[in-house]
Amino acid sequence: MNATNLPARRMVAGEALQNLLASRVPSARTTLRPDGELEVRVPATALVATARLLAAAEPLALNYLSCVSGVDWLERGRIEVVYTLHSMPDPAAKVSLRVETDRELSLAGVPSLTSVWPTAGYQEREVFDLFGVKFEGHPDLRRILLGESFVGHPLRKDFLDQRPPHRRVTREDYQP
Amino acid sequence: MTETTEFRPVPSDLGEHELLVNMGPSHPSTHGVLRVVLRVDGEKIVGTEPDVGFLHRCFEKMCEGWTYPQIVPLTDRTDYLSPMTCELAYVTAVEKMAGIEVPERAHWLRVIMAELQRIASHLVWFGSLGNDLGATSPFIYALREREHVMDLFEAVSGARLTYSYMRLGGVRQDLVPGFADKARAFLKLMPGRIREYENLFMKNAIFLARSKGVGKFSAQQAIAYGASGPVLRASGVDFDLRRDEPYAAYARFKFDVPLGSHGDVYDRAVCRFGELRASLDIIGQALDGLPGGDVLVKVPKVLKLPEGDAYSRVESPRGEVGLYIVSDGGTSPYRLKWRAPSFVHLESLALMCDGYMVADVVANIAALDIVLGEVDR
Repeated sequence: MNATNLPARRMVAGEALQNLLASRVPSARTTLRPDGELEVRVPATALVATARLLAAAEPLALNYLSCVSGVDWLERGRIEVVYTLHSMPDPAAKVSLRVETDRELSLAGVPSLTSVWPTAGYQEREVFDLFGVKFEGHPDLRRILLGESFVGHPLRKDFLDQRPPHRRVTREDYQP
Repeated sequence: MTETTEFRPVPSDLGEHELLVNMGPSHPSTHGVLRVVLRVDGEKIVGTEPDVGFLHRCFEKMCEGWTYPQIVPLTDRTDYLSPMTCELAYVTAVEKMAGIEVPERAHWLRVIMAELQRIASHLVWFGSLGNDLGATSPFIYALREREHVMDLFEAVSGARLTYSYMRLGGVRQDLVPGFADKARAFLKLMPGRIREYENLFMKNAIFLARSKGVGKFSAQQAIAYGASGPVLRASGVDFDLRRDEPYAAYARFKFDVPLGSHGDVYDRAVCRFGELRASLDIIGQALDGLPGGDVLVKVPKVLKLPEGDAYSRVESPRGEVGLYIVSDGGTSPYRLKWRAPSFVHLESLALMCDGYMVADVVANIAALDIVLGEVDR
């Protein structure tokens, strides 16, 4: 793989993917960044179809899901889920696939992409655990880092830890 | 917020001859506090479920309250076997977003430290793999050599485990007198020692029986399950971020990227031994061609990143460490996501273990080289 002209090749791959999405997914809004990364914003209803399209794109398929991250936009009342995609083994294509959902705990949900990229399994569980976003169609959606009895989703901006503070150990505690 | 002890009910689909076995969280071969719930039929594994989170310290939430320079020491605590590469991942990501130009000499020093760290980390992997498979001597041998790297790091940073050597804008300080000589002596010593390890271990009939054909992972599976680093390359995918998406000064170096073909425990070991040699090669080139100049540029004390987000990744000894940073223009990140390779690799543990024997789980965990500090963050 020639790494010297990576930015230029990334730009070419980004433009090709942008054209592909413009013709196949009309609801997607795309932005090509100066470094060649393609931002794709889709409504939740078009997420799985877009993901399948990207994962099978020619000639550079976005077959490698690097990262799934939640972002809580408290002021807008939205939670964004960002999938960072790369092509493998040629890293020329880079896409961040974004989908937004309501912040309200009972409404927060997006379709799961585990059927497209199996590695989404743990990372989507992490987003569910820390943000409370439900992934519809996830085979095993449970908390992963926190205990099952934990209440709340700590990476939400309005999370307050309601556990009682640790009682300070004083000299009296050591009296016989 | 109840503090109840949770008992999970026995699954209703448990077969007549099946048994649930908890491996960990304080099992010597789980490399920290990892619990693996195994469903076994005799000695054979029919289900594997890793249970993580025992070490969760809300790393990402803490970052949201700390300023950008303050986070550097925090990153040391994620992957505590390779803090240098974690710092490198973080400073690379922030410098890219802030547009900080780092002096060339600092870039080269970062490469030297990251590669020394890779050697130290792979030595711990080698030692613990031996330990897990029942050979105690590799651990003693490996830690003897790792001590040299620890001494070098102590000389430049003052610490032996959590260095905070990389800073935003460069590195903390230049090489101390005597560092280059000691490093060259280490480079001279290591090839013989690596040969010794290989003779001791890689050609050992017991090790071959325990590792060949165990935990097979095809190239397609490796890509689909997000494998990276030596685990990906052992499956035959020719990809290394240092070469294919270079950061720091890696574009200036020529080095081998060792590949496997079967994706089993043995091939992962071969890849890591190859990487030890490649790292020695890179350090040699870096010491020879080290440019002069400053090692740290002035970065504003109150650093503010422009509004926006970016994902950047580096090659740690375990694989792709990625950082997704969202900035709202303030002095601390609005959101910082740490993509830990060990966490992603654990998901594929079930694929590697199912159908094999209980003893192979230990070999698989060791060959994935997971660090629980990074898994749980």
